[in-house]
Amino acid sequence: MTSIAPSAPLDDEPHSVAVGLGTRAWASLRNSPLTVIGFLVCLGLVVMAAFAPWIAPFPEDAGAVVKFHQRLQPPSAEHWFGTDLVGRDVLSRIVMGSRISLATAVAVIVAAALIGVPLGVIAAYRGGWTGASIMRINEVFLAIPSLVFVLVVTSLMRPSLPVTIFAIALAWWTWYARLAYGEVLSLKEEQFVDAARTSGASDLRIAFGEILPNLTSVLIVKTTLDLGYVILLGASLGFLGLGPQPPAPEWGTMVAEGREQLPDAWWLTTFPGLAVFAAVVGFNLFGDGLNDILGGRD
Amino acid sequence: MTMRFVVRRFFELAVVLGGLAILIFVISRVLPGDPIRYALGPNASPQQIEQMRTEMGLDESLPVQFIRLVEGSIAGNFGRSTIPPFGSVGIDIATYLPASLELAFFAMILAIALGVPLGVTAALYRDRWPDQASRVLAFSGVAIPVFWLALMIQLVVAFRLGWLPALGRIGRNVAPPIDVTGFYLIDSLLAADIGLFFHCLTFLVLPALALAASPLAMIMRLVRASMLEEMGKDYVLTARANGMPRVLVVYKYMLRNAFSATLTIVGLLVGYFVGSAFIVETVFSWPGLGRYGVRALQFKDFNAIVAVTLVVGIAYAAANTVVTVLYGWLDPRLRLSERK
Repeated sequence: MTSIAPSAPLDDEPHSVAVGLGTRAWASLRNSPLTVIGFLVCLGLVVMAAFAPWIAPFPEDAGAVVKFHQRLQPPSAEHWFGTDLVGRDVLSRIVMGSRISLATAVAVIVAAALIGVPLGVIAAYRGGWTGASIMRINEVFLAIPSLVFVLVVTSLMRPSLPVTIFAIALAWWTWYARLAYGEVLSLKEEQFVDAARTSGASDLRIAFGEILPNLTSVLIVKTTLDLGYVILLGASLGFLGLGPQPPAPEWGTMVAEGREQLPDAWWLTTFPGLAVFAAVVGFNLFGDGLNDILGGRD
Repeated sequence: MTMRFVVRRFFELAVVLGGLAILIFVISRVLPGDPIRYALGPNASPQQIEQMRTEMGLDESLPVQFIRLVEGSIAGNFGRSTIPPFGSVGIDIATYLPASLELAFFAMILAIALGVPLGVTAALYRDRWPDQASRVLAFSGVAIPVFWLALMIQLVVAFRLGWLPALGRIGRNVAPPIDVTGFYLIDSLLAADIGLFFHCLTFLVLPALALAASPLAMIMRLVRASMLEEMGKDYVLTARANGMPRVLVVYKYMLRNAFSATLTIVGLLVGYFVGSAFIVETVFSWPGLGRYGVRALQFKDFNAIVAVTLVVGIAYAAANTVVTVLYGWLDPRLRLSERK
């Protein structure tokens, strides 16, 4: 117990130090084609959003353009995903719409993490009355299913992109607070915390300087998975008419508009829906893979 | 001690419900946006707006408004709707709730009835094709947008193939069964009308399928995981070594243990059902609380929004309490761990 030198043969911890993150990442990637697929889908989405005006065949179709001579055309060589009620190219609108979905997701996750994580850390580290009240408030927010909560908030305000982001973030911080709370609760019993305290570090420094960095990998996995789920929630909002308003090429809004043309113009609902599906699957697979690479739990 | 466990859960429920009332009150009073101005239209005079504020009690002080809200929720009186036909919100909710409950219960049964055997199969055929298929199904189930799935099911099965009706809860020229439980399936059986029962069933299947897809996937994966865990345990080996038939070991002993883990997510699933019901009911024109809620949200029907949110929150919290209590009853470790 007194010796620190690795004199005893520790058979139950084989080579745990020697394998670096890079090696582990490479091994995981090689064994899991799904992670690679997920990564490629995510990368594709980011590239698509970044260069949308150059990728979209008809970037002007993202707005309130009318081309009546080519309305409701089925998929063809010129319009891969067909055209909508006023003749706009569906593919172009989907490509341009990736900006809305991705921007929403990133903004929501950043806001939710910035609010939720510090609250969770404080609740777990301080405990007592402060911790209990933070977690009670958290539970109350969780008492309404998130979709319903977000719908109510957007409806009472005026639906638009900033309102969508605000509403989803207001519902989403709870998950980050919970996650941070659970992690810190066990981390604060670790020896390095005692060590920091003995050497005279302040509570603030221990909580945010010593404990918080240990949450990095959990948070990376969580945010990756969440990017997909926020895109899904945002699209659901759009579908119910409470997201960014037309003519914004929001994917869920496009499905709702296309719904009026069912069952004939099936392409109007099919392709924007597939875009949402692909994005969520991509972030899901990639997040799961990251979890394996970073050595997280199931 | 079991009693103590239950009492504690109900105490927690009361705290959450109190918080819920406060949260909804704050959201509905504090957020910018004026539903009354919206309800009356852009040409409303200041007098009209003032009159409506008085009618809805929004001119009272905030504490008084809050007490009104709590009183109203307990009595089931939520005021009047601000959009045509301006009915009583409490009566509206009582009218639409049974349809939603019927849909949700049926979807839940569907998800469990399909998810559990699929999960068991995936575990028994680990890493073979049934397992791989279940993995794909699970990923799709979680990632698929429910509004899109609902539309696709409707497009293919109802519009293209014409197998089942696409919209509504009952045929246009068919009289609903005499109202006993509000569930058409049960009421038609009570009226001994088998034809009507199957008629209503055809309307229920598609929306229930859309609603059940994602929970089905989650249940399947969870059952698979807990079955795999059970498989490695000694009692399974002992039972098999003693010559007990595999079917009996799997379905009588392993599944029972695996199932208690599944129960933990049923509480979460209730939240999913409530949220997704808003979407699925809209797509299939199912006359339930979800569709009512969406209409209220779209037209800023203030009282209805507050009421629907409250009802949904109460149902969700109550369901979670029931699940926790049930879980404690099934798994004594949980309720005993609280005694220190």
